[in-house]
Amino acid sequence: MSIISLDKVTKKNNGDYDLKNITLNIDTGSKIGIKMPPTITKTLFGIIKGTLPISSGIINREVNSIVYELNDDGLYGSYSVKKYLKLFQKIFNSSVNIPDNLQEFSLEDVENTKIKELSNDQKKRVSLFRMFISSSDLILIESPLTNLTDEGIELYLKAVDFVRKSGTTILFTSYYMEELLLLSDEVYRYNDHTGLEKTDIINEPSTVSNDNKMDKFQPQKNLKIACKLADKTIFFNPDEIDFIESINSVSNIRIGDEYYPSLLTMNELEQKLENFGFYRCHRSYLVNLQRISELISYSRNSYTLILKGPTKEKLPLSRAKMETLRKLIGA
Amino acid sequence: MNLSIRKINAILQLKLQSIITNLSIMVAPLLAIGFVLIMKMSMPKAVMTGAFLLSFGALFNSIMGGIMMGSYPLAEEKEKNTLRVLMTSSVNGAEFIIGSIIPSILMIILVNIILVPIAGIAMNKVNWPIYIIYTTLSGFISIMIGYIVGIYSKNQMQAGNISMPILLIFTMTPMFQMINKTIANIASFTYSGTIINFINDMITKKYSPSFKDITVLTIWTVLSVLIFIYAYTKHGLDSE
Repeated sequence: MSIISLDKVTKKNNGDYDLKNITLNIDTGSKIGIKMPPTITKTLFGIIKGTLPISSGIINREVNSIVYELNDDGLYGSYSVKKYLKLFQKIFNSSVNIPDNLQEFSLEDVENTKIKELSNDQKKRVSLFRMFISSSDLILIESPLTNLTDEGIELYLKAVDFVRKSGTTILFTSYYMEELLLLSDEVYRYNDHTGLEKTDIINEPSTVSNDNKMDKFQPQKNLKIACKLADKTIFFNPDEIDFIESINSVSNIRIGDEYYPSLLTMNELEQKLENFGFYRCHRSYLVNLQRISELISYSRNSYTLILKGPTKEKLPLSRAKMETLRKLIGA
Repeated sequence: MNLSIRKINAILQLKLQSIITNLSIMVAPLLAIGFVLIMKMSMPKAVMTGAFLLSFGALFNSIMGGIMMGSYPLAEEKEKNTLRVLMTSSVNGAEFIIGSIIPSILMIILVNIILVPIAGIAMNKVNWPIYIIYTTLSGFISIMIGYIVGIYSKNQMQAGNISMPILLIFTMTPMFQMINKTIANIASFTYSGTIINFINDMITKKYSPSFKDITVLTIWTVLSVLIFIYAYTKHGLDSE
């Protein structure tokens, strides 16, 4: 069942677009993540909740109980965890039993601790608990994992699972793809010019033995990648390409700040480019190994590649692919 | 706009705690009591008459306390981004305002009553109904001014900066009245001036409500509420 559907929703502010062309269907139980800059998240949440009027488009809202949390939302520091949650239990007129559920949010030991004495990790879980108390149908959360420790991320994900199992749908937004991949199954990205686009996350059968690939390695120098733009076909040398991203089943070649749609599929590109030092670091990403500048691990199960260049683009890297990548770059 | 008693009650408890635990707000009622005590003990009785002490204390408490209780908690909620959490948790602006005004008003009334014996005035000399109504009304006007300040400021520091001159003008009214007759005349049209004249008259002779006093207080009340409503509808509580 669909909770909310947005069709070509646009929000203008003083003649400029705040949000453009948002088409999104949020179903019950769906695990949606949206990659967007923090500056427009508040507008999107306001529109979904219905507190902000839209400029054009259609919104169908099947439910009204929606709560949201922005990354910098505050808690009452002088309150204890229990007192804080009780305050909101009263406000929401909720029947949720607080002591029974403290364990699910890993807050049992800090029940009587003042919120200002909690760690960032714990505060985020208190905030999630508050939204759970509201018994809303839909919860919208901005970048909850930013600044959390590895352990904090693990416990937060556990609490998110619990909230989802209780029947609440949660939608996340973040500027970092890698955060969204931990939190959601379905990922969209917001583009200033074209609006919301779905990023493919395809569950492929596990990769062929990587050792064989290494043996076959042979440099080739006669490959050009073709991209069609309007009536022109543009050819790129593999070494010009930063990375390739799959958006809406189309492989987009990223060069500097520009995206160029390719006629080939991700699998075809992978086959062609693996001999040119490209590696499929994620189902939706093919990265030019020469462009990698840093490898960061935010949590035990996920890694992030940071590319060279002014935009310092971040790409996700799954744990399973980590070893192969290390071999490839000789780290 | 729907008002829920349950939510107002929850906000009321929240605000009561935030006022009592916020030392920069509590400084007003505490100073009012403290100053009256100190001045009564240290100055000669001829200068520090009961009327002067009570009007000083009541002004300090109702005006400084009112403006601070209106502006600081609202600015603090905005500064710490907790107001947004309440607003997205189905609490509406009216519930928030009503829930916040009640504990402030109660605090002002309580301190104004305590000030009477502290200023050394016999209980039977006070015209209680009018004293309570006038001082509470001036507290209410101050709280409204405080909310207007709160709406336009982003944090507590800014709220303090904006409210300081307003606060000084009204609490210093008795000083201005001493300068000359014209200023004294102008001051009598402020709500703080009305309170001073009333307390003076009440203690020294018998006070009967005059048309001017009632009109002045009514106009100030209506005006402060109207300006507050204008600021609220234009900017909401959160003017970011």
